[in-house]
Amino acid sequence: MPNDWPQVATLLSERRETLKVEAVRKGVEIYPARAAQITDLYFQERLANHPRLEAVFQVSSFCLVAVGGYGRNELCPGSDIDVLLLFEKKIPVCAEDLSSWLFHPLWDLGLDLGHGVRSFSDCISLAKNDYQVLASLLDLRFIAGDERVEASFRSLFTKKVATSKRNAFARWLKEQNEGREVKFGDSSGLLEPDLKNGLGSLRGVHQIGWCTAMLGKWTDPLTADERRSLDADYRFVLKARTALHLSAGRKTDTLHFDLQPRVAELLGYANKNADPLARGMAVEHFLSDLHKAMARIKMLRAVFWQECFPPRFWRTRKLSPAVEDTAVGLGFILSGPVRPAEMLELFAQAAATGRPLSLAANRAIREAISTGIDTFEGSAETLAALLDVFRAPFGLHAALTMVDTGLMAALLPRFSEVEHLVQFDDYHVHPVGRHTVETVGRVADLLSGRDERFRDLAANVVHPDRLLLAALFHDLGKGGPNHSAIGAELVRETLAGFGLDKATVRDAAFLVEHHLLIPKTATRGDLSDERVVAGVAEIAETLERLDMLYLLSVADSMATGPRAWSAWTGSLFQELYRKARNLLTSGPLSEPEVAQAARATRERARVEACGSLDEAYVNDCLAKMPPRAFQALGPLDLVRHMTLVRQLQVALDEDAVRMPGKNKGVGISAIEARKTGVGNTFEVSIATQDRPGLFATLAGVLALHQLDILAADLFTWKDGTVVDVFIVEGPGDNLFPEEVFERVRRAIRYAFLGKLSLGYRLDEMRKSPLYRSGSGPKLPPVVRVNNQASDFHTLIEVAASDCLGLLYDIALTLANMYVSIHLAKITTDAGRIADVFYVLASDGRKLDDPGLVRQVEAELLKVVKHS
Amino acid sequence: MKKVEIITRTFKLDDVKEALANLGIKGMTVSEVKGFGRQGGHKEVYRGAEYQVDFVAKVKIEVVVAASLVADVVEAATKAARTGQVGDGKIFVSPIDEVVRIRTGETGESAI
Repeated sequence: MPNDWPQVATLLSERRETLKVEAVRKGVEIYPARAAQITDLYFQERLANHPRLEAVFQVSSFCLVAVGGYGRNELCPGSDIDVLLLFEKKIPVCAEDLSSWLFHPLWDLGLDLGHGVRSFSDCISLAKNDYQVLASLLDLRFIAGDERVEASFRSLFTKKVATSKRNAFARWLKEQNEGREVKFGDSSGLLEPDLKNGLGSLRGVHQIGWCTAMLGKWTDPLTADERRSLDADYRFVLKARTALHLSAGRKTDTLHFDLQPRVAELLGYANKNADPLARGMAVEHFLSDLHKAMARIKMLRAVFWQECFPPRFWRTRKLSPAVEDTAVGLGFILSGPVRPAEMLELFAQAAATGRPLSLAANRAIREAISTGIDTFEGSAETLAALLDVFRAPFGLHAALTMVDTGLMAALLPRFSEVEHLVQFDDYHVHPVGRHTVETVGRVADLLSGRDERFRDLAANVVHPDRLLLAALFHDLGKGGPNHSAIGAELVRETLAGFGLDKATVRDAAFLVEHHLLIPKTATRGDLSDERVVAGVAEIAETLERLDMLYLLSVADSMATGPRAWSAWTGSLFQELYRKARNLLTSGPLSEPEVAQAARATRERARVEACGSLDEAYVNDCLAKMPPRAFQALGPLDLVRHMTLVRQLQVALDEDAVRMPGKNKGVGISAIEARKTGVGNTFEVSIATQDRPGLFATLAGVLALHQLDILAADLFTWKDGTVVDVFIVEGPGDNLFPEEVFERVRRAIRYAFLGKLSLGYRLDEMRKSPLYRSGSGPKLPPVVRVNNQASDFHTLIEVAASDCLGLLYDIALTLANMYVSIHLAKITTDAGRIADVFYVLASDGRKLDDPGLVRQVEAELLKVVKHS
Repeated sequence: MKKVEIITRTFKLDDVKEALANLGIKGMTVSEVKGFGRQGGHKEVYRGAEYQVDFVAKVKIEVVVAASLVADVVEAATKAARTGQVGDGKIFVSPIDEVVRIRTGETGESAI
């Protein structure tokens, strides 16, 4: 520090540190106001110490004011400190000296200082043109200097800016809010919400404050109770933001997963020493409280807006006997307590018109619900009216409002129990309540036929109501293990109570119970194995049920979040659905029919291949291919494999000439990559000669080139030629992907020649400062060896936290035990892998030796534990 | 401490700057540079004659940050600067031994 380093700055720095420690110990809510207070102290003492203060005052009187968050007396640990040196008239020359005296030490402390040195007229003209400045001045607060200057600026500001710019400012805020929704999302329904800028965040309350200040003399549309609730919610979110800054050690407004446990702990939801499960629960509890608070803030801000800034020219229209569309939103025509039927009518109109609810209507509904009017005796009509809301053009919007007002919970008591339940993972984007509504909305959307991929399918659904009901109930059994079965039980109880017919109840319960059947089978099963598909068809029994199950799975996955729904998962769902449908329409294939189908494929492949390849070669290839190839692959795929193996042979012959020594032909491969047409995924076929650890090497090389493996199918020919087909996500290079695959081909060779150590290189990548492992919670790994699920293979299921090159490690471990992989299905979600390997022991049989099974389980556990 | 050098399109400067500011990065050095990468410059035609333009104008943004922040900085800069076309630029990360703030003589991370 320099010699003239001011004592007061050291004091500020020390006080801030002490305050942090104290906040962690006593409760973080004390931080914001105290931080503002000690910063005030710094400015007051520093100004008083200025050597030529009198001289400055003689030239022009001035004051120092806080604006923005600092003006509101709220400084989170990473907040900007926004101050303004305000001069009544022209800014004197000595202002420069004064500002560096005040501000430089703060910069040196590393604080985020936003400062301005302005005259009255500068401020007024800036505020008129830049509403950001206007907003910050609305929170202005005196710190030091001449108090009269501050008072006279206030009156000037009210006269010149506040009154004249009121409506323009409100319009600007509205535009800002639209931008905020796009950029930060609706915080009240996100699992990684933005605490400052999203909808329902602190900013919403600031805006209410600004408008209250701008509007001046007027009656507050919010009641004292609503103000109190707003204030409490605001303090809670502010507390969370303070804890977030303390946990992150820097300014950040997005509540990221990795910071959530620490934030929950600082807010007193769990202590540090609790076990991982209790900590996870505490985070869920905290997020649930946070979402509730943010949903209330969002709602109050929206209705406040409607009340204060209604459209200028509006003619009230009567939409139905009980509902009218007024300038301030949809409302009830009759005064007095509202009846459930009227509420549903109101939401039906909201869903049809997309108009918001008025504050009065909002209050009437809340009041009716809280006084526990003889709510919903649960009639079939009520339920039908609810489903109609979803089917209308603005159904999702109306349904979300329904959730916010508490009507949905009143209608379905079970909904209120799980509404705010969140899964502490980075897989689901929304808590259960919001997810449920989104899923029903998506189902309604699919049923409407707007999405042409599902149009024909949707048209075939005879009982759309059953599907919508299933969507509504599919996750309501959450909160414990086996939520599908509990959900189905709930459906039976609740819907019977609503007086629905038996067939409807049965179908809805069936759909809820099996809503994970398609997602699980599609991402883990061998879809070329008829038994797997038959299992799904058997459970579905009828085509109608299968159709509904498929639509429900698609809608559910889409509503879960981008990690659950990708083009690749979609294609797997579709493949399973199509095959199961075929099975239901044309019946299962008998043993001879299967063999006949395989022969037909083989013959077609022969015909197709003979156009481009030599006939003798084709016959030779067909004789060498494994039987599974004719079941799992189409004729054109077989032709491609033959062509690829031809290329491999050419390359091998060339290599034999160039490198006659012991390395002859080592690591030589032929590679073909083509776009699958599904997202940014490629089908990469690699032909090479079989060697120990081949699959591990290929998996390692692909990981090294940042290609995510989604699935792998391995075909070993009788002469030891191997064609491995990988589905990979990526590469990042969308312009020159062929170069990436050429590098892959070279790397395979180097790996086998010993010029490239995959283990070392992958380790290096993991150690890079740019590498980040999954942020999801760390759950214990699971390894299961299953000999029953397939006739020909042993299934090894591995679930563990994901990390770079994990597949390489797993494959290497299996290779070391002479276990060969024949098919692999890779699913990565929530920072966790759920992989299934179809394997055989070295003698070509299943792993039927219990000793070997135990050894495989133990060795694999060792590997994934270190991930 | 690490130095992150981001070389990118000139019109992406503001986006990158904003992305870095959101991470609490307080200072950066920006220079106008010329160079070429994979695209190898491009040809331009002026009054009928073809000119080989070897170097393309880019901006170079240099920031020095604590090692713990590098991953965030690189991710934010990549996201802000990417268009998916040739010429999006490169990011280099290198270690920094020491930093001195000249005015105060402070060293290490507090001088960043």
